Amino acid sequence: MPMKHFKEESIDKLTISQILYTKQYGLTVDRNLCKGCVVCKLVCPREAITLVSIPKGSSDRIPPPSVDIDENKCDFHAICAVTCPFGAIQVTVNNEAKLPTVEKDAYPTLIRDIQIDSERCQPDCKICEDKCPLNAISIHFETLTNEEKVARKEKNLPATSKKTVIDVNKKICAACRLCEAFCPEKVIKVTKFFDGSIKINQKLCPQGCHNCIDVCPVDALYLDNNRVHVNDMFCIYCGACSNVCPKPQALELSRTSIRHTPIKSGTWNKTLEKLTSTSGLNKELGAKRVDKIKTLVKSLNLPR
Amino acid sequence: MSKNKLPLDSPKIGVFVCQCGSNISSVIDVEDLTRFSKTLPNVAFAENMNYPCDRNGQQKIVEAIKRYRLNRVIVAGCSPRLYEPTFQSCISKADLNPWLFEMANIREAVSWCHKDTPLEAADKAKDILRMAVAKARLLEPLEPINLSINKNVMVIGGGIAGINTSLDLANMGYKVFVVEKTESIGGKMAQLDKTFPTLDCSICIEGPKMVDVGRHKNIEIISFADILKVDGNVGNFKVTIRRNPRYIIAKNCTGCGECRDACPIEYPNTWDMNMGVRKAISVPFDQAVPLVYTINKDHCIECYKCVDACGARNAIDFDQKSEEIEVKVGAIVVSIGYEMHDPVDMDEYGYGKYDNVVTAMELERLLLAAGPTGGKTVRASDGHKPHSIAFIQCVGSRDINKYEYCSGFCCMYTLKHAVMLKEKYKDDIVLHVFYTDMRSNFKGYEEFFNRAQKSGIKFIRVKLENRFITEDSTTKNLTVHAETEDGKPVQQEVEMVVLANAAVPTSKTAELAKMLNIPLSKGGFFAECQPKIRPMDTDVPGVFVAGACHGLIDIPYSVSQGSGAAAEAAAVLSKSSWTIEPIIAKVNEDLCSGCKVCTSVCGYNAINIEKIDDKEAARVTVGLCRGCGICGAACPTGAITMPNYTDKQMIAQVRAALGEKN
Repeated sequence: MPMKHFKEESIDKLTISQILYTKQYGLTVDRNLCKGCVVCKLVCPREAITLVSIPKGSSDRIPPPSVDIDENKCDFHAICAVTCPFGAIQVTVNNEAKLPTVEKDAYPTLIRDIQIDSERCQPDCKICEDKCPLNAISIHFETLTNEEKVARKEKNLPATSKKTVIDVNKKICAACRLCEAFCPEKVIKVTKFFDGSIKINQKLCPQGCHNCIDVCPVDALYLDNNRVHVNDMFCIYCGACSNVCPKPQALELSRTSIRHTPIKSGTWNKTLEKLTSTSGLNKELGAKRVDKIKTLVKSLNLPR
Repeated sequence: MSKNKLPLDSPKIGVFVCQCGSNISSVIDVEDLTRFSKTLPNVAFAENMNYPCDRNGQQKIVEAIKRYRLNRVIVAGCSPRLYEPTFQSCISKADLNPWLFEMANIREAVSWCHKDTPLEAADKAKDILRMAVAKARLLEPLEPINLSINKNVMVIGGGIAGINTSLDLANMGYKVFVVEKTESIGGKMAQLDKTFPTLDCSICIEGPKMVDVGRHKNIEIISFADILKVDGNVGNFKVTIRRNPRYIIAKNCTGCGECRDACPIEYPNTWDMNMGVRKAISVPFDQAVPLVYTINKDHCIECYKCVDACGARNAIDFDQKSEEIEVKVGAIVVSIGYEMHDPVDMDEYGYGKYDNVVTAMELERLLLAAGPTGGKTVRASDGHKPHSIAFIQCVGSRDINKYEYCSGFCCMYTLKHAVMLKEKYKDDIVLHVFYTDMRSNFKGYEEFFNRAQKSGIKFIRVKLENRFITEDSTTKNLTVHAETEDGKPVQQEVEMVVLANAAVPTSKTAELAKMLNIPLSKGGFFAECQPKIRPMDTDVPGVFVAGACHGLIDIPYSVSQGSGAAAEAAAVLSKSSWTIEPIIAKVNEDLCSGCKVCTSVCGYNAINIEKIDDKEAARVTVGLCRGCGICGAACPTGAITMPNYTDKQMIAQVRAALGEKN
């Protein structure tokens, strides 16, 4: 059978597929969720992903680059889908959503850790929903039952008639901590899955350029006195900014660690090496080695 | 070789003119030619006879040599390719050196090609005879050359033909190296569901033979390997092979398949015609021999889940490198089989464009219980079983614009497919076979055709031209358009179409032919030395061909050719030495200037410049030189000569041809 690879593109999505006689593979990039960062391109073992920069056009703001995938190269193992900070990629096998590498325990998932103590929310407050730059939070209110009212009383919580129900779409939440920062009651705690550092080298940063701010998906960059500054707390280290920075050394971004489910996989080691650095990989491997030695020593039952 | 006792310095030539029944005598007056030869210098005896090559004829030649003390013999008859060895051995019975013989070809070169102009033919026969006499006067006795024989043998290609060659030779006691390009031996037969006309399960009858090859103490399988270079000659070939890395340590792999279960990556399986998938670490099929897994690094993401699954068996080695090995053998049997033409370039059939058009091999994989659909014949467009199928024969074959030859086995496999489907689905399926000529010769085949006709399969005889297929874009059904012999158009709507696409030489055939120095025949398959009486010999002594690689044949004939080639190879291997004709290039080192012109023109790498006694001079590798004479012609100092084709002899022949007096 000749290979059947297809690619379909629209403003909203990019779909590629491979149709075999007995199996159909598909991959969709949601263009609205994709922020033009560099993560998928870096992690793809098949080197099937490229970023295509889009010219500024008449608008003052530069658009982020768009993702292009070579349908002849893609093997649909969903490594990009799992690592995408914004959950913009979906892989299907026979029209069912699948993560083959995760299912076979060959790749971890990112830990998107958002703790919300919604019992302590201010009544009718929707600040987090409004502030979320990725529209990952949706809030609605429900009337409290009598039992719930009693329970609140026992916990010494202020009396109220409605409860706040917060639904966080963990697939697309990039853990930027904006909600945490703006929460008036401080009931939200977000732990980032990427950690790292970002620096603007003011000497090299061209004045008047705000490409990085234009593309930053989480408002981690701002203009002050016509100079670009970083709000380190919100940066998710996705790298969208460095893609559009005209002076590469003006913006220095590095990832140092990634929070993920436990894994033992060579592919993940490569991801670590590509996304963080060799030192990041060594750190994780070192920690794994220490764990290994600890269990070994324990199993030997050595006398203390 | 017994010593020639007759004086050689004064030539006494005997000429024997052959009538060859009426082959020669109907055009040429052989009596006249005999009389003419008696007038030529040094001819001491001449006579004509009906068949010098038969026993009586040979006896007469021996007697004439003895009686007239002849020391050169000429037979004017057919081509030396056919009978020179016969007459050489004949004159040696009269204690004459076999190379004191010359043949004048007056049959192929005269009587056959000039039968309408007998007068001119007679003149030409005389010219040829005069040339032969001129050369014969200068012939010198030569001694044959003996080469040693390595007792090992190589079989290139482990399909059903190669499997039989290997088993036969191994059972005779020879060490056999089977070189296989893919991961497993078995070839195309291992891909088939059933075989015609008996409907035997293909792998059930081939599998045991594959296993026998795998565990025979005299057979070493070198699989997943490529032939890089073939040096040497009959008795002493040196083959350079690259073993490609499987990233698996073969001796540690138990074939358990736990690594495959752990592997997260799938890619299209060419073994299943890319209809199904296989894992990045896998075997192409469960009965593979050797049962050693292979990692496809093009798709592997190196998660090392397989390493964990393999555990203490330690069979996985990601750092494995390709390895070049050299194997020395006395003979080589080539049985690399064929490939199927990909009909995507034949627009009229819509293959690759219409979902429900498949090739015969694809249908084979659909029928097979171990195939990608688990033996369910379904349409690609909707996954449903088709209720009607059309088979189109001769797709690419018997087409002068594509492949002129008949692919040989398609008629029979189509009958097989149709009978299998009809017997399985009975009235639930309608089958139409669009054929032009049903070729069902050989044992049991015509009977099978009858069985197919009786079972209710529809056979529609159509012209090879003007056939095409259209698709209904909503139902994805197909309409076959064709023309009957009397020009009436035929149209048939079906749910699925199966193409009997042409079988073609493999992508490696031409490359291997070059390495082995054997020519290709018109269709691109290997050329035999003589297609009728030496069907498994090639032009290169010690290299044999078997199976579909030199012409398309089906399984039973591949099996018998495999055994035939084994016998041919054994005839070489069993000899204590191999005798070759002493007509090979001879270098006069005193005249040689070491200019290397000869090395650049030699087509067989048979001549090299070496340091001989403080001087650079050409040296000929005996087994490689074919005696073509090109080096002798090119040598600017005249240092290279070919025995019995010396300048002196050739010039004497030219003078004779021009009618000059000697």
